Amino acid sequence: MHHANAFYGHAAVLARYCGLDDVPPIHGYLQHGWNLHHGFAVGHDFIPGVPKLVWSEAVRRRGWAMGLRDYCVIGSPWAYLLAQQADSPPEGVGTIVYPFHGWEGQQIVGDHAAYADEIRAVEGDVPLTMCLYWNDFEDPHIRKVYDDKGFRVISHGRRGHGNVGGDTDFLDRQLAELQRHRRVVSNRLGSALLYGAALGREIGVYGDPMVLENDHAVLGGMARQQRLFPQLHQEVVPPEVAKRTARVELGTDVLLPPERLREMLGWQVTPVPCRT
Amino acid sequence: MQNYQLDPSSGTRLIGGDMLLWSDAHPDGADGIGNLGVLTGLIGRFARDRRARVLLLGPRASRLVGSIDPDVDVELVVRSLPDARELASEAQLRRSMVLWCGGVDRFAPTSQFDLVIALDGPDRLLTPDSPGAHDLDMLQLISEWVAPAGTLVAQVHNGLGLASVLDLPLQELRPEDRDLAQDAGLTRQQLREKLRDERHVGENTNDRWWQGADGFADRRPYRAELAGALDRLPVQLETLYGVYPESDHPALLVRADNPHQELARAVATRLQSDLSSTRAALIDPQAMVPQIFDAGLQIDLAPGWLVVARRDDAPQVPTPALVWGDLELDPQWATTVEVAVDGSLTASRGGEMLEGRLQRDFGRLRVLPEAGESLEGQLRDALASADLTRIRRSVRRYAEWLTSDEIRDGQRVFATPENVVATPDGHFRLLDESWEWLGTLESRTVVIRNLRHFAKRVLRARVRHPWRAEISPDQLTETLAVMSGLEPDPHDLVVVAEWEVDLAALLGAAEADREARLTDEISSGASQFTATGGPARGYRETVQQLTRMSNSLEVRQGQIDWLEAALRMRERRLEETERTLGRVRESASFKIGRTMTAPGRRVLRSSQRASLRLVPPELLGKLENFARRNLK
Repeated sequence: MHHANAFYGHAAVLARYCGLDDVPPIHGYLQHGWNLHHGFAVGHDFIPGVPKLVWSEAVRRRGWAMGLRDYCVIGSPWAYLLAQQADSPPEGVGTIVYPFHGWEGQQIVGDHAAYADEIRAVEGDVPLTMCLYWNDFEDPHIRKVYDDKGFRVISHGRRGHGNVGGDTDFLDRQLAELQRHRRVVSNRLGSALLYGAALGREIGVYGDPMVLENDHAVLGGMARQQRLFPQLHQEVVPPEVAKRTARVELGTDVLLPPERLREMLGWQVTPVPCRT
Repeated sequence: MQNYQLDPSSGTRLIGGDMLLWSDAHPDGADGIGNLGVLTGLIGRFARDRRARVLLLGPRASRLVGSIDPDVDVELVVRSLPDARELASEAQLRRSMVLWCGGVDRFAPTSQFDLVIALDGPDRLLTPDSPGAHDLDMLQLISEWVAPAGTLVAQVHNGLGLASVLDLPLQELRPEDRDLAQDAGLTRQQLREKLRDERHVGENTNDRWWQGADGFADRRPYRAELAGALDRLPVQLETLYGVYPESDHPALLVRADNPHQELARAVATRLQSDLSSTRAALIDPQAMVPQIFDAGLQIDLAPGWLVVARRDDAPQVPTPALVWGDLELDPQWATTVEVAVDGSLTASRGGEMLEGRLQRDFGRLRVLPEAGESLEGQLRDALASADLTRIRRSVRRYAEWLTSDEIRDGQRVFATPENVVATPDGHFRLLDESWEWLGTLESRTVVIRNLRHFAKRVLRARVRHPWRAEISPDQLTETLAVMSGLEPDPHDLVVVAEWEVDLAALLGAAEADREARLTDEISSGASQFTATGGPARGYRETVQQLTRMSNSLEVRQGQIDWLEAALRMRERRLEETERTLGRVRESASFKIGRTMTAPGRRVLRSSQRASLRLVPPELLGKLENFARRNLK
């Protein structure tokens, strides 16, 4: 199984949805984060014929336009996690912030203190939680900046690498945190913001978008996000816009029933072919 | 109010959905737009008022910006950022030009336009980030942007068009093909050409990103659906043209009420045939197109339609009944001809073009060509009849006309059968008289060249003929030339090849050096399988030919079976005779008879030898013949 399939506990969430105790290897490449590219990292090397399991139709169309094939739109693991929740989420208090993050290979460059001040100015006197990616979280200087500004600083865990060191309950922790808060904000569009919108939380996008080191031009940067989703780039996004976008981008309306999902992930004896 | 970001390097307004690493104009370095010359004159009729505002939607319509008066305000929408940056240079030549980049679904003009032109469907107007839409949905959306006195010009692909009937379904590139390209150092364009030739591997199929996606149609609209959609538009249909030979290669526009049917039929046949000479087809277009026109289905089955519609307040602009241009010809040689209902002709350019010994006199295109049946069609029918007398008569008549005073010297070599029509009164006339060769060419060279040109086309199209199936173009040329009364020799073919290479160079079509081109040209006649790059034209005809060959093989096999049976029977009879002879030789009566006649036979043999010794040796043969004839 490709190691990215296990990122953030995605494979575990899907296995649980399918009623499996263990997590069998997924036959295919599972999209592990929202993006405006073909669903995967720039330069990702695919084995021909192996399915690409993506969250939405737009990703499939972009991939096709780039010459890729074998796409299956299955919806996001987050959508499957929400489908497993029996109760409606509580109201929530305060705001959780997901600053745009780098990863192990690309660091983010920006002024965290200024960003914290801006958040406080906009959100007002409410409980604020700053959720950092693990490599930022483990940097005491960054954590201290937000601690000193009165933020509760957390991390949902590690996504792991090479099937080692990942927290399989990552999404569960994220769900628990999102349920505690009324609002979710970020300085760029990203998976976490859409997760909050899918949960019915108020969302907002504002503040210094910061810069990713050696960002790929093909992604179009922050400007492309603003062009495609202009209505999402404001302090308070209209709830219907937020929900509609989350539905489309996370594929909450294209979820497969467990038996069909098992087939798509290769968890049956005979994998089924993808549509395109 | 339209939201946008500005692309600092070009001034393009980015509205979302823009494709950063994509080009519709130059996919993989190739030309993705084609020759739109046939549309420029027509478009110009609607954009004469300098106060007009024009909207050009999509990559193909945007290429028409150069044909619109520079004082007219123009706005363009394309989805590819590289294309937008290329188009941005046009802004320096115009009084006012606004360039938008992104999906047309995101375009929200604040005011309407006097002329809206869209030559592409959702596949090129929308982007992977757009919601799905059908062709007719797009037509509806676009028509809303037409001002109260404005005009809409939109092209729509036909879901049951000729292209869908003729196209040979192609396979896609496989990942290993790209590895092959890397290993061989081929560009993607070179790879596609190589694979297209070898195993029908298709064009760039990545532009079909919408296939199977929700909201997009699996097919293009049919004529009835288009008619229904037009009724619902806020504009009134003014003219509906059938577009030939392909929607993406418009070179002929035929109005539904065109009175010059024969001419349209001849031009469409020629254009379709020319286009198909570079790609595989399911059915030979040379046979299919005339049938469509004869059946009156030239609009229903046109590869695409050009809709000209206007708001009620728009002034009526007369449109030509027929417009045709040149297909993929270097712009310096190309022109467009418009034919009005009354038969008057207007060429898009006058004067003449001269390079080397090649001349094109555009003034000769002002006269309506005489209608008639394609000579190529007649010759093909003759070949298919397998009637050698008829073939000989047809070829000889063509050759006699080609060398007669009825045709100018310089025009003879352009009087190839597909450019000649046979009028009802039995005369041959040129369809396009504008070309002339100012150099000297012997009559026999012209006849052989034109027959070779015809031979290549019929073999490529797998037309039925009475000779062996694997006959080469040069062998067929030789056969036809002999029928016309000539006796060609190999040197004639070299002269013809040299002329072909020179012509290609003057037309700007030759890229390699002359020696290499000449070698290719000469070898192209040696085998019908090397006559043209690529697969057989006319897959149906190829299958028919295979069927004929299979039938013929079956007949031959039957003959072999019969002969083998006859041989076995003869062998059995021989064996019976030998057994009978053996029994006779073993019988007592035979042995007694042989013993009793032995002395007599010895005497006879001795006297024969003695007699022969007396005969002179030179008479011995004659004597033997005499004895064989008379002493039986």
